[in-house]
Amino acid sequence: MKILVCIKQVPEAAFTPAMDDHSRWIRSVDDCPWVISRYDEYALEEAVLIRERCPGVTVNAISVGPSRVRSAIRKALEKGADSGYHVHDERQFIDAHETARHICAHAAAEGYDLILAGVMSEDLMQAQVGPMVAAMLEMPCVATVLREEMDLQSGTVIVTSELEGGMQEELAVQLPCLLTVQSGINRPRYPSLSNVLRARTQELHIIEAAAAGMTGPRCRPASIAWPEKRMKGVTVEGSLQEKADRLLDALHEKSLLSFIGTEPERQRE
Amino acid sequence: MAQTRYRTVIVLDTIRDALVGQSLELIRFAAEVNPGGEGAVLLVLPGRAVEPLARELAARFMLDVIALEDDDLYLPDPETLWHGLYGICRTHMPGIVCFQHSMRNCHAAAALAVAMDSACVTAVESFAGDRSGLVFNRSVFNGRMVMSVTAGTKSAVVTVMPGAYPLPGEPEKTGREGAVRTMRTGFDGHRCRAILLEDKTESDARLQDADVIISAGRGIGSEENLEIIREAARMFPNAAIAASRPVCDLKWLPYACQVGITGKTVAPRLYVACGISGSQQHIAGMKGSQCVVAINTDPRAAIFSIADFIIIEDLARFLPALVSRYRQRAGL
Repeated sequence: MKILVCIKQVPEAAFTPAMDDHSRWIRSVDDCPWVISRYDEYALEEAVLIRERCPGVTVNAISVGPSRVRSAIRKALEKGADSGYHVHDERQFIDAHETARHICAHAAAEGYDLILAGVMSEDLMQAQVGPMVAAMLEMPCVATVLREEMDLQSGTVIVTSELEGGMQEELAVQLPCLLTVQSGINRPRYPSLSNVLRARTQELHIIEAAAAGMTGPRCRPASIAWPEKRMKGVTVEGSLQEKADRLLDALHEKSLLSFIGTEPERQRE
Repeated sequence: MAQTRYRTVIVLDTIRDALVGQSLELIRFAAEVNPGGEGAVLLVLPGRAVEPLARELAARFMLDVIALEDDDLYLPDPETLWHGLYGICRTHMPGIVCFQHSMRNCHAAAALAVAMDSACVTAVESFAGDRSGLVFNRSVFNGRMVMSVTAGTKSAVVTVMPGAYPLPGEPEKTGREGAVRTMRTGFDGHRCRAILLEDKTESDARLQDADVIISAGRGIGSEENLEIIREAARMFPNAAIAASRPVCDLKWLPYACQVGITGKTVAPRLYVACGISGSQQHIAGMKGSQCVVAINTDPRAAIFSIADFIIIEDLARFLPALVSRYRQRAGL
């Protein structure tokens, strides 16, 4: 059985990106900490868990993007992927449709039994690439999977999928299929030393995007901006202690917190 | 009805053949995308047997309605839905097909966009285009930035954030009632079968009834720091601990504590967001709170846009200071 995991490299969640010169998209700055999108980490871990449970499973990881994404693919090898595929395209912004076409071209040639992807990427949060790949390959697809149970004999997988508002649905899906994985499905592991050493030297398969003859993006970023400062609230200023006191005063005033001494007292030594 | 070409197709949500009322917000969105073009709007109502409901909507909103029927559409089923919609779209070639944003609808929208070779834009918050082009605004980077996306195609399939547009008012009953047609999806290639749909919301009275909720986000940094959150909660007589999704994914707190679209909706008197960036997923679950205090080191954190009190500090430093000052002043 062959599993493909689709991986996107994104800026680390805590990093504040800078805009490019035209305010069209973010600038790829040297100090940007690029990581595998959190949802894709769960997808990768799920693939590795399936390989540990079932004999004869191979796990490939694929990512579409500029040269920098190779570090994400190597990270996937460290975390247990058997081989890595890089669809090389130097543009900073590649739309979901084109990304899906590239993944589809690779997957159609390789013939995977299962394709896993994160439910969305952490940066764009579009939740499109997975279902698009499935539609292009005419594969069944289930989104937001919280649990899966593979039955290789019958060629089906039983999945639990999450809906908004606390609903969950159990479904039986025929292989080959594509599942998009919700966060929390497992606990992604730390790389083992042997995998780290292997990843350091293992060749990645490079696919040049230009050779694929794409018809161009369906969506283009027109602009990017900081949201309007809609802050209606009060920014509490001062030293750490002053801020604490001011917040206590405000909560007291709103009768949200009661204590006897309403005035800030002298600090006890 | 067959002669009408619809410029806008609105896909309503149903579950067990009952309308999800909030999806009617799409009517207001469609009016903004095509001002004055109400006559060219088609409502699609998916379900198992929804023709009576379709008649009600056609009379109420004076819009044409297609009841798109299939046994598999009794529960939300993106595969069956998009195949059925594709048949409708091939006939009418709409400029825009809109869904309410949900993960299931993103699935249907993305697949339909591939079939139609249209642009797909999900989680749209507002329309920013005009007659010359389709441009949509949406949040990226966990709500810290907003991007405008231009559709490079003549048509677009979009999902619109719940709550981004108000529900439509009752139109003046001047025109004709909308026409109703019932269609089958004609999809029989199903390789995916629903077994069971259940409501998994664990009722946690503590969270629903708490006057004060102290909520932890990924910014708490480590599981050990939950103790700081618990300490802060002890300042209040009726307080509970909650969390954003990433904290529950890390298993630091159970999912019963999760506030957000995929968790619980709460509206306490006081909500203290600690190290929560403020994704829409989270904000949707707590924006009804009477007073919001947000503590975050990132001055651009989206949570600050809905906070009454903004504290730009590391919670691991601020909360202990707050608790310590409270104890001193309360003489504890």
